[in-house]
Amino acid sequence: MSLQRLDRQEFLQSLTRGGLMAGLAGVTLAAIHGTREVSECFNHNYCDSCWAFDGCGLPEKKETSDERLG
Amino acid sequence: MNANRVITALGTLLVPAAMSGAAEMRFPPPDFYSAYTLPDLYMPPPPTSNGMWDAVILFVALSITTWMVFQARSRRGLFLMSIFSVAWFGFYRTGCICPVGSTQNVMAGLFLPDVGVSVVVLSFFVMPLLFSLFYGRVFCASVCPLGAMQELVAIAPIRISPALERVLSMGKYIYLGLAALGVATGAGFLVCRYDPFVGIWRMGHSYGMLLAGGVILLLGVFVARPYCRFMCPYGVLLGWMSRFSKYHLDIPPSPCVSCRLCEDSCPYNAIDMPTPQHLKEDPEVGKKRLRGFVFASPVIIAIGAIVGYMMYEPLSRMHPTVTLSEQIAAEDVGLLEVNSSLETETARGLDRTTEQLHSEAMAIRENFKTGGAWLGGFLGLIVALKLIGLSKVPKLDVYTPHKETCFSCGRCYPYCPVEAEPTIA
Ligand code: SF4
Ligand code: SF4
Ligand code: SF4
Repeated sequence: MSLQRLDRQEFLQSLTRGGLMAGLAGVTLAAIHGTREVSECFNHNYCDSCWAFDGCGLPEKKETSDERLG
Repeated sequence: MNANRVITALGTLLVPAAMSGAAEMRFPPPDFYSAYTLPDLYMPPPPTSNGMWDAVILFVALSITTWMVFQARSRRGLFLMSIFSVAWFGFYRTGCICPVGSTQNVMAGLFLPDVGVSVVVLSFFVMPLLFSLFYGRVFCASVCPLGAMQELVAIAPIRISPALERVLSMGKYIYLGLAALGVATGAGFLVCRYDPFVGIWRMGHSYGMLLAGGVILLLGVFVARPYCRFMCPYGVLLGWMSRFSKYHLDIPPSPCVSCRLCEDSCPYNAIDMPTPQHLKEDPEVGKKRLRGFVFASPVIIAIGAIVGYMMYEPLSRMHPTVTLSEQIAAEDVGLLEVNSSLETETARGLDRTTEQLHSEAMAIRENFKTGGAWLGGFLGLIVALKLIGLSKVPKLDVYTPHKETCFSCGRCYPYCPVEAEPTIA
C-alpha cells in the first residue's frame, strides 16, 4: 500500500473517529437531558429488567419496592 | 483445555438453572375462578445495587482486558477474564447491569420526551463503545457476560461459509431496528424481554426463554457465539466503533510472514486474507461498479421504507395494547371464546371501554406506519452499505483481523509462529 494512500486512509479514519466521538457525546447529552420523572411505565411493569428502576417514581415501582422491604 | 471438564462444569451450572425454571411451572395454578389475581414474578435487584461500583468494576474489567489483548497477548488470561465476567456480571449481578440492554434505555431517553437516563446507565452504554473506538471490541473479548458465556462453551467450533455468515448477520441489524421501534412506539424493551441468557443468570424464567438460552448455548458449542454474530444489537454499535478504532489487535506481534497458519483459526470468519492475484482488477472497473451501487442506494432505501410502511400491521403486534385489542375484537365477533385469556378478562373488567381500547390501538398502529418506514429505510441503508462494501475488492497483503467483526478473543494468537521483535535496550 502506498504511503500516500495510507496517510489519506489514516486521516479519514481519524476524522470519522472524531465524528463518532462527537456523536456519542451528543447522544449522551440528549439522553441525559430529560431526567424528569417518567409519567408512564414504558416497560410494561417488567421492573426486574428495567434500567430506570432506581430512578423510577411510579406507583408500580412503589409496589415492588414495598414488596422488597416488607 | 479439557473439553470434558468444561462440559461437566457447564452441566452443573445449567441443569439447576433449567430445573428451577421448570419447578416454577410444574404445578399450574388451580383452574377455578376467584377474585385473586396472580402477581407477576418479581425479581428484586441484587442486594448491593450500587450502580457506581458496577461502573467502576466495568471500567477496571475493560482496562485489564485491553492490557491482556495488547500487552500480555494472553488467550488464557482472556479466558479467565471471561469466567470472572460470567460469574460477576452474569450470575452475581443477574445480567442486569448490561450494556446490551442499556441501548434501549438510551433510545428511550432519545425518543420519549419525558424519559431520562441515569449517569450510571449512560456510563454502561458509553464506556464499551469508547473502548471500542480506541482499542477494538475488547468488551466483547471477555467482559460482556453474554459473549463470555458463549466464548466458554465454544469448544468444537466449525466455520460456516462467509456468504451464509453475511446473510445471517443481517439478523442483528433487524433486531437493533426492532428494538428501536419497540422503544419509540412504547411496545417495551424487547432486548431485555427476549434476552436468552437472563433465565440462566436468574435461575428461573418461562420455559420458552430457558429453552432459548439452552438452545443458543448448545448451538454455540459448534457455531461459536451465535447470539453475538447474528443477533446482538449492541454488537452492531460496537462493530461500527471498532471499524474506525485507533488501535486494534494484530495476529502476530511483529509483521506477518503470510505463512497461512492462522488461516483457519478464527471460528468467526473475522480474518481477512491477502487478496488473491486473480481477484486484483483494474481500479477503473472497481470504481464503475462502486458508482453503480452508490446510485442504486437511494432506490434500495426507498424500497425498504415502503416495505416497512406496508408491514405496519404485523409490526404493530409487538405492542401489547394492539394484541389485546385484536383479541377482544376476535372475542366480540365470536372467533374466540369471551374472556379467552386473563388479559382480555382483566381488560373487560377495567373502567376503559373496549371502544377506547380499540381507538388507542388504532393510534398505535398509525405510529407503526411511520416507525415501520424508518425501520425499512434503515435496513435498506444497511443492505446498500453492504453491497457497496462487497463491490470493492480489498487490497490486502497480509492476514489481518477484520476490525468490525473481530471480537478480540485471542483465539488466533497461538497459531501464529511469529515472535515479538526484541526491544533494543
Ligand atoms: S456482540 Fe453483544 S452479546 Fe456478544 S459480546 Fe459483544 S456486546 Fe456481548
Ligand atoms: S481475535 Fe479476532 S481474528 Fe482472532 S480468532 Fe478472535 S475474533 Fe478471530
Ligand atoms: S500465522 Fe501469523 S505470520 Fe502466519 S499468516 Fe497468520 S498472521 Fe501471518
